[in-house]
Amino acid sequence: MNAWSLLAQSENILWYILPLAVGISLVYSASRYEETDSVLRRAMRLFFQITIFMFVVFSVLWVLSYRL
Amino acid sequence: MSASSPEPKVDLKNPILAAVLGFLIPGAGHFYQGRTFKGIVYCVCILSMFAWGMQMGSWQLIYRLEPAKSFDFDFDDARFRQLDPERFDDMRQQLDQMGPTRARGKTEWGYYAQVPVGLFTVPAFFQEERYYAPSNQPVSPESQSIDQQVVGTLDYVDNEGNEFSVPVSGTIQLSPEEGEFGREMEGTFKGSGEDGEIQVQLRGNVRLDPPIGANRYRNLRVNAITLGEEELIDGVLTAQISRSFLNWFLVPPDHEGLEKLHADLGKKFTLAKVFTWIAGLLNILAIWDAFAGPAYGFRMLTRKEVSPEQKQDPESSPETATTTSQNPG
Repeated sequence: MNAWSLLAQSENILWYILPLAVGISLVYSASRYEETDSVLRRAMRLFFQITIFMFVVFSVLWVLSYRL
Repeated sequence: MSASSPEPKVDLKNPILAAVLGFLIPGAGHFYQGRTFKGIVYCVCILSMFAWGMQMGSWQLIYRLEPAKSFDFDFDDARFRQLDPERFDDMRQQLDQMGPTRARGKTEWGYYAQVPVGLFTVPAFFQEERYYAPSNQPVSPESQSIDQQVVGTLDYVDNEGNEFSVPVSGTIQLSPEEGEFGREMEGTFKGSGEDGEIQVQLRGNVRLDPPIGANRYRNLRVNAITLGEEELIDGVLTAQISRSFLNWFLVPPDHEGLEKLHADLGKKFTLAKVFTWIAGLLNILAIWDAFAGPAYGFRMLTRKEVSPEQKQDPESSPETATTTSQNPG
């Protein structure tokens, strides 16, 4: 199956990563800094880091499982 | 503000009290300390993650011990039926009357990841004790009477062989009586059916789930003898009696209930658990923040604000160069 169509399925539980990553980023960053602006900036950066990392892992696994 | 200027200190008030409050309700310690923004972040993120997971798992994900399988019904049913068909019914009936006072299963380690959500998980420990208490038994002819409002279905066959399944609602009253074959439950159901008011005579075996259980409803099954004046063939009244909030909330599910949940939810069962685990683990960070203040300092420094000495130090990053001036108390 095409990777994009796999991701596009609304039932795919991978989509749960996004709200999970938002929550983790905000809470983790809030525990590091006190100032609101710092917390939000760091949370945003962490969210993108997590999302990109997960996407890379997904891509690697998809390539490895190609035609399996 | 430059790196050398003093950072504002966070007033942690009483850090131990704040940590305890933060444990009980995520974010409560920060509200007590007047750190409203962080309180909102912790409260909303952790509680919504936890509630989402719990909702996905039908609010049955908190249990300290895995419910043990009490009996291999499928295998033993077939064997008993072959070996001793006459005793099979008696045996099966006795098994049906067994309560949750069974062998307890293995430790569910995930529970300890959920515990830091405090008030929403710790009561599970006490609910487990109530659930496994010897008094939490299914209602049987040897036990108490039943007088309850119920909603259910009356299934029967009439004299002409027509099968009926009628939705009913009303009051059921049953009490133990000495019957032809020993003690049995006897009573009436009065309420409304499809065609208005009905009265059903009930007698025989009764199966009613224990008062304390993981589901919001107790299932009741009793033989129906007459409907008004009409005698019923194979009459059975199945109904549900609602449990009070205290009698189902955070009560451990039984083995069959958990297997059904697995079958219904599939992968989402594990996903739901992961949500509750992560929520619990994140609250440890929030509790520590309420106790000791933010880990890296008041704010994130820009690269320009990092001093040249810190830049030269290979072990120092912009993050570690920030002020960590917060002290408990």
